[in-house]
Amino acid sequence: MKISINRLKKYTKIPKDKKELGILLDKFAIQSVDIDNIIHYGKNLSDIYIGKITKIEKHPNADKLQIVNVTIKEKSLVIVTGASNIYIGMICPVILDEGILPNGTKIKSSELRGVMSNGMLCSEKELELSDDHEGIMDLGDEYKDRIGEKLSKYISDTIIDIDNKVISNRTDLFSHIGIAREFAAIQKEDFKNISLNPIKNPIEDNIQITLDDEFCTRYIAIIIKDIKIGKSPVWLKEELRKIGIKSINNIVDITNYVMTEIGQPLHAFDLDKISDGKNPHIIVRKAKNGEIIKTLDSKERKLNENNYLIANEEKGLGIAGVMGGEDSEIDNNTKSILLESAIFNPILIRKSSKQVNLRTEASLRYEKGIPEHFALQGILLAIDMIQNLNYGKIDSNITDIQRASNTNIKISLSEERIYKILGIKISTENIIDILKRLDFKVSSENNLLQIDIPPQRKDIKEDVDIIEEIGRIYGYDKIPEENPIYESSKIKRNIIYDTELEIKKILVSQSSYEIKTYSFISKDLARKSNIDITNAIKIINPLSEDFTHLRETLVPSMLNTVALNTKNSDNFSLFEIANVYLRSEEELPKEDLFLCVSKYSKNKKNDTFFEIKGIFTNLCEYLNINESITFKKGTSKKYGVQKQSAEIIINDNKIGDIINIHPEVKENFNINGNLSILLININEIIPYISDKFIYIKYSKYPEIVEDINITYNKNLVLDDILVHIKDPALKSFNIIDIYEGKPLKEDQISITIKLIFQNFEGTFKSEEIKNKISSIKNTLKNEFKNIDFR
Amino acid sequence: MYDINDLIDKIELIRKDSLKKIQTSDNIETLKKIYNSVFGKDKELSLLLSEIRNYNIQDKKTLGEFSNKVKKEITDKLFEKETLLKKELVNKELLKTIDVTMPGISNNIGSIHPISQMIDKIVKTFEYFGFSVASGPEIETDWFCFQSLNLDINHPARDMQDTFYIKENHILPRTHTSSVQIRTMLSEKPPIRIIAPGRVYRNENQDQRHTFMFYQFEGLVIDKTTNIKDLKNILTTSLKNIFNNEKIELRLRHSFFPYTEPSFEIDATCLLCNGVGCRVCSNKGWIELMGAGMIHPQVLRNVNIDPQEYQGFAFGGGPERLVMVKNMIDDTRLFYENDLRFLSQFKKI
Repeated sequence: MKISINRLKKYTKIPKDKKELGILLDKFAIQSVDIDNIIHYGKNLSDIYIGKITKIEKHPNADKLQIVNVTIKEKSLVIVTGASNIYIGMICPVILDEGILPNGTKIKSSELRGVMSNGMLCSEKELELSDDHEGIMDLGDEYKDRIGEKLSKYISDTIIDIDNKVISNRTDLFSHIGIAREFAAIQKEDFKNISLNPIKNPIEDNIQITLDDEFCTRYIAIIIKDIKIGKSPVWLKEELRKIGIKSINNIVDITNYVMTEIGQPLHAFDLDKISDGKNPHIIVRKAKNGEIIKTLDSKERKLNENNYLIANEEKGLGIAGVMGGEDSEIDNNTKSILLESAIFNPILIRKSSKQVNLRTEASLRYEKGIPEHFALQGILLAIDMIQNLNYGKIDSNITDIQRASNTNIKISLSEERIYKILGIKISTENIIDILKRLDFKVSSENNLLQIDIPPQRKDIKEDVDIIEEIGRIYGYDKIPEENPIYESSKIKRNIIYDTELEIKKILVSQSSYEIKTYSFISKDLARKSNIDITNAIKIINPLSEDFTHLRETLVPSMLNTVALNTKNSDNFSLFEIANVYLRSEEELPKEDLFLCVSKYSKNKKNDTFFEIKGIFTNLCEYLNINESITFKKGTSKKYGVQKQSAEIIINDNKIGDIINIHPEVKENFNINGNLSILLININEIIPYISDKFIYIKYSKYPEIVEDINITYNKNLVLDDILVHIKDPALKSFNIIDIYEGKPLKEDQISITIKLIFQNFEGTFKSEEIKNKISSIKNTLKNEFKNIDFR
Repeated sequence: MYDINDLIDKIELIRKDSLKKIQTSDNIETLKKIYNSVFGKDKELSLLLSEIRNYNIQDKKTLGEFSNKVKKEITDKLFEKETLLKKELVNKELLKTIDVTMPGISNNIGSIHPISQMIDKIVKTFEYFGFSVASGPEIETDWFCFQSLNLDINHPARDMQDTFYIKENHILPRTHTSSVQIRTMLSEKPPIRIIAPGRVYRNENQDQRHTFMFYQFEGLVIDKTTNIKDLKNILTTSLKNIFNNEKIELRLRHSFFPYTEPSFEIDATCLLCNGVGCRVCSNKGWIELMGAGMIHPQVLRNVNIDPQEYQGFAFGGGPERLVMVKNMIDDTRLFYENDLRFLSQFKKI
């Protein structure tokens, strides 16, 4: 919403000095409403003069151009223009040769098809006064004594643009009066309220009104006759243009002006179109299902029971609080109007405007809940303006139907409570002064304040609301900065957060990069990943086809990210820790925290399966998981290769998988090379993570290290062999070499195992070790046929 | 038994032979072999010396003195030569030149995602003040996400245009982490101090400043006395720490949130221009960092906490925004594209 600072001057003092005004606007943005944008309206107009068109001729060499004589003081210029809205006597802005437009363009005299043009007539857009580029700006008769003067003398204002969202609870601020009161309060200046005269010489009631009580709580109407529809005075057009509202005609402009001044939307109906000469009967009612109305924007709107109409006995005249109907619109032939000023239920307005997908300046204000008394103020100001400008004659009393009882809210508030929330002491006088400036009525006794809430402050409901008013106007910047004194209370670790971070650190130390991908996936991404998402939870209003389902696994997004990075890297590892979402019997889906690690190598010689298994081994070691971990060949995942995948099992619990990605899936993602993935359910491994290290003594005698080499047929599984390597003195053993290829047979593999013996009693004799080794070898020989030693 | 002179001659022969070998040896290994061949248990000299015990006292004495001299001479020479050879080795070593500008040999190290880094920085900072990490489900009911927070049925935030739904008007991916406040207040008794980072979702079109999924962190303090002064001081101290900049100033700008009263936006002096005004802060000198406020009494009543007895504040912000401000990143979508050319610029563990 745009606010003209000049327009506030009627109500409170506004500094003339630009710097002072800047400081005030800063304060306003901090203490009252944030300003999105400050517009210096009419800035850079120093080269624009007010001129009058004295002669118009057709251009001899161009159909679309005209030659215009313009008077500026005593001077007369010849200008060639393409505009079509010009007429003799028109007063308009002119820029001369060498003059500079607000956008920085320099105007030069030039020859247009054989005729010299010595300047330019300007449109509103060229002067950056509005977006209107339809024709030359018509300054109107009010400027007739200003010909030859600079336009900047008359057009200059500061416009502030504020975000409606910030004031969504402050309906009183959707108006210049409301904003002016804030300016007065923050600079401790007087506020002069608008004074409106009640109608004199009331004439008999001649409007009948029937209301839907739930929807409409106040309806005020008046009939004005002898209406003279025409152009608005220049000042009014100017006031509207400054805040971005287009001038329509004098009556509509007045209703718009009142709306932006008071905050009350008004609507003018053509009386003859709604009542056929009889006394009008206004009915505010629910629309019928399927009822159709053509609104002012010439669009047919299909209504249902969420909509409310202003109607007569025959038909709808407008969508209440949203937009008037075209059939009852005022036009150049309008003789009489019925002027409406009403209060509607904000929630129902919202539904209605949503239903027809139409948000207007009126519905925007109605949605927030307009205070009841604005309706009367609004219509009185409009009547005042219509009469003063001589646009019509009052022909009825004000008919005012009110359904809501005026409840005066009172709140009592102790100074102790103010201190308790703000943390600082503010004197009683100061508190009372602040509140009075904001239109609260305050009495104080024994540090207890009794506060009457003004009717426009519908946002004030409890004591903290008042404390906020005191706090912001007093200034939060006055709260002293100190180092916080906070005694530490209980320390509570979050095991999941801590584990996640620990896992991240371990993986990063192994060249893996953390990624973060969206929790929603598409059918297509799932299909490419060989993942069935028929059971996945759907978003009922997805943003696009790319994000339609809650993911049940991190794998598709991981594949996507790997594919992206293969373009620039040949060898890398990525990981993500995030929730997956599974359908559940409970009210909410089951959320399970997963780790997904990928290892990609373009070079197929790198065995990514074992690289990732190595990452997993280190992960377990550094998480201090002491349980024995087994790997079971196979996978249920369709995106994995059966014979090159394993389930990871701790104590009979499956905690994850290591999977070589299926060649077809790789093909789908255009990934060339080896790609393996590790998946771990973090909640499943947390119970096995220990923060304790159990110290085990080692012998002071030297350890004996012996290597043995075993060659075996590949149909054996290494783990099955290793379980038979046992000896009481065997401290540990490691696989130190794996060999395949010549001179071995194709189905053979050879491994070298380093055995480490230790003895607590003394040093082993070589004989003893020899015996131990041959005993191990014998055991293996007895167990397996196809096994050889070297 | 040898004649004493024969024995002396034999020893003398070994001596000469050894000294000659020592003289000509050119590495430490050979010296060790020489030592072993002379002093080894079943070696020549040892065998000869074992004969000494068969002589008379006088001869024993003579032979003893003689053999000791020989032994000492050989070991001395060995030691001398060894020292010399070692010295030569060291000198040789010292002559080797390396190009110190050649690259170091290292394992590649990955990186924690910049958002996670920022979240952890935030968490660690608030842990100093006794906050602990809290969490709640990402998929929430409308009561936890909206109603309990004073956003009633008709609040615009609940529109399908702003919020994704799983079940219309009922189950939704949370639009903010404020739902964790509610869950915590229902499950724990005051005093409460939590910090809750997590994913949130909004039905918004993607552009340079918006992604439909992003992160938030939510802070909550509930006790009997915590007030706006505490809020201001804790947030100031924390943000100074998070940005590692003591000069940062904070201001509370009046704002409106249904779940706090009073409500503020927290602005900080622009990190780029230190408050002078620049492109990043739109010449304001201030940048908006988070929202905050005192918990609305109605929210406390909604979770059965008496607002006359307990009070406190909440704050919330987006770690993306903080990372962007800190590192001059201009497009929030980069965080979710996960291009290694982006991620590898934020190496930190």
